[in-house]
Amino acid sequence: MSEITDDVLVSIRNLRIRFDVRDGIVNAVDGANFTIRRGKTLGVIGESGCGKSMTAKAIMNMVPKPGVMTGEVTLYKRHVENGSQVVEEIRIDQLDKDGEEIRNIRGGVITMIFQEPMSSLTPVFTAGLHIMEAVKLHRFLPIESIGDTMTRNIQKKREVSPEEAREIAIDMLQKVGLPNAAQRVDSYPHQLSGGQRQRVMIAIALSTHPELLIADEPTTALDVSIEAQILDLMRELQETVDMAILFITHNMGVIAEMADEMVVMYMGKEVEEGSVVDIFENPKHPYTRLLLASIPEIGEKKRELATIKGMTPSPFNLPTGCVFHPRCPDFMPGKCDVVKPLLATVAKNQNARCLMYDPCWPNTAEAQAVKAKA
Amino acid sequence: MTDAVAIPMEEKKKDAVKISQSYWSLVWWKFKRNRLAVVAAFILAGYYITCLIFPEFFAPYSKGLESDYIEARPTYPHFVDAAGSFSLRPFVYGLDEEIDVATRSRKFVVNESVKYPLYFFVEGEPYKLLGLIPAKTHFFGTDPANPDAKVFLLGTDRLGRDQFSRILFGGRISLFIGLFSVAVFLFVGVTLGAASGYYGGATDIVVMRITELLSAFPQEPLFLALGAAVPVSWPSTRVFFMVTILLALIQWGGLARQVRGLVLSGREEQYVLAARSFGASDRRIIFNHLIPATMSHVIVIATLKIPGMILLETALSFLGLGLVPPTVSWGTLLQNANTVRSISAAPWYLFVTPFILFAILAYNLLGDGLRDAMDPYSK
Repeated sequence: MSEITDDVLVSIRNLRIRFDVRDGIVNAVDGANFTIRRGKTLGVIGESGCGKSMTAKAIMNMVPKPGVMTGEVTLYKRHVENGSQVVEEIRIDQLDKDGEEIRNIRGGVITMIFQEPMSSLTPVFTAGLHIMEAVKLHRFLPIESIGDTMTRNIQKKREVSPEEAREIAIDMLQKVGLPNAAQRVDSYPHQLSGGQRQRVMIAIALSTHPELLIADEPTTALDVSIEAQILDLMRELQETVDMAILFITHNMGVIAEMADEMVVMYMGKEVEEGSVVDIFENPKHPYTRLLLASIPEIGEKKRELATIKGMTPSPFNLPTGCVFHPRCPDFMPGKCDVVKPLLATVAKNQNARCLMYDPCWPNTAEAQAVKAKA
Repeated sequence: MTDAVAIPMEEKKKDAVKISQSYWSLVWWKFKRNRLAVVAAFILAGYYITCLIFPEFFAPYSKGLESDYIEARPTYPHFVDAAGSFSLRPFVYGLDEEIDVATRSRKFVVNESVKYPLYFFVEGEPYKLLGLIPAKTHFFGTDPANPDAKVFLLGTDRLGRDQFSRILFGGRISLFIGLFSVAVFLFVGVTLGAASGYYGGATDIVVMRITELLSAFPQEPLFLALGAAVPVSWPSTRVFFMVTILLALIQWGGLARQVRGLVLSGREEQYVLAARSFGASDRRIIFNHLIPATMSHVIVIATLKIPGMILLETALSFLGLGLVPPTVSWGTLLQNANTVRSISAAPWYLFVTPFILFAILAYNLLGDGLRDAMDPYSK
């Protein structure tokens, strides 16, 4: 998945985010590599604190202080120039954090919706004002072509007028299925329910025609029926506007429903990646397998829910070798607690970070036995 | 049939209106219920109309007109004369000058044989309304055809100037100082407080240490020192602005601390993160997202601060450290009453105090009303 092809939108290489805090150093993200493709949905799944949200923030260069980000985050911004498509490479990690350029990308190319719709809307703004603000900042309407320079077809663009912004706002609220959009546009957040607020968030996020929507656990705070509605809505809208979604969640069911490809993260590293169908059918990494096994099945009376034993280790005191080895059912003493596994290809378009699949793994009978078990 | 359908539709419409009640309309509803605050608001509106905007019209004389009546006692309007006959048009008695042989002082006594009727909307001294429109009409006054006829509702001062007119003109300066210095106070306090809360770090430390330094100074000596530092040779307008800015600059610390606290908690909210994720700049986040959320708080502080500013100006001017004559303010008018002699000889100098008192009271009541109305947790 590392080759840069035409359909890559964002590629993240060797991303590390380090926090120097009083108790020591926390590596919130520890060498993440993945690629977001145009028009596709990438699901990121993992336990709380495994670096999912931090990765999302890194994509927007919004790592909070005192976090330090290293590695590469590259945005391949596509725009039409002179009739042909040109892809511009932007190293997001190298942009000034509060600069003009990143602010145009935030909201313009990449937008984000958050976990808690309750607190993501400014209480003093109406729903419409939120959308109008985003639209005013990021959406420009072409007026006319005013000529070509060397290679560029220059189009004069103007900002959206307040009346147009309001129209767009009402239109967007209608699109996200808010009843009475023309009235709701003047509602304050406290007058909306949780589901409605999340719809408004989605409306804001989509109002600027982004290329990537980062959805950071957008349905965690909602009840299941609303969750289903919101997910349906996002899928529908994605089909109509051709945008990529980075979907962060800790819910396997949601990933299965939404994503094309998925990344499983554990303690700041991705442990398995591949297409959703492959991973669900044939999970390779023990962690993924355990996660899938812990989904309770409807209609089956079980004695006890399957869990992953133990707890996530303290980030200040990570286990040696493979960070998952203390909880791993396939733990191989003398190996897993010594050697750090690398991401290895385990099947077509499926990688896992486990010594069982490491090509450098000595071809002993013991290893064969473990592999055969897998 | 149409009626039967129409009624539920009406109700439905009402419900729709109810849903979209904004915060400010809720505040207005609550505020309206507080009678005292509403009365205070009306009193203040009256003050601002008569003193700040149209004192030339409401005062019978200009602030500098010197008459021959030196420290004359007030001439109160009457409806019933000494003979007991009633007239619907109010009138004032004339004043006769008298020399008290024992004290060798001049005194004015009421001469009940001379009656000057009062008229509304009389021609008088020419003036410019709002400094622009030339006009001659005064709200009330005596017959312009009779140059002897004078009305001094609240007496005159040492130069024979009408005290009532001067109180109105003095109110213009004092009330304006209240507004203007609170505007400066708000600007400095909110901006620095918000910057301090939002950026934290070095900005926060610097701003907060300055506020601590300011609050650690004993206030009165500081005012005295700063007031004394304003050069005497300055023109009165410059002194006026200097005093206003002084008042604001010494007092912004408390407001800055409160705004900082509010912004500090606000900036951790997810909506700030959301705004940033949509490409909003720091300035936009501070001014559009964070400061409006502090407004209900700030408005109340400001309303309660205006009377404080007015009082401070009055106190400073009374001590001769703020505004100085010929600038007319409530403080400089009170300066007339700074000796026992003047109070015993011309107690009407003290008529300024009820004007100040009611303005301050009205502001405090209004501020309390606003606080109750804006606090979302109050009943």
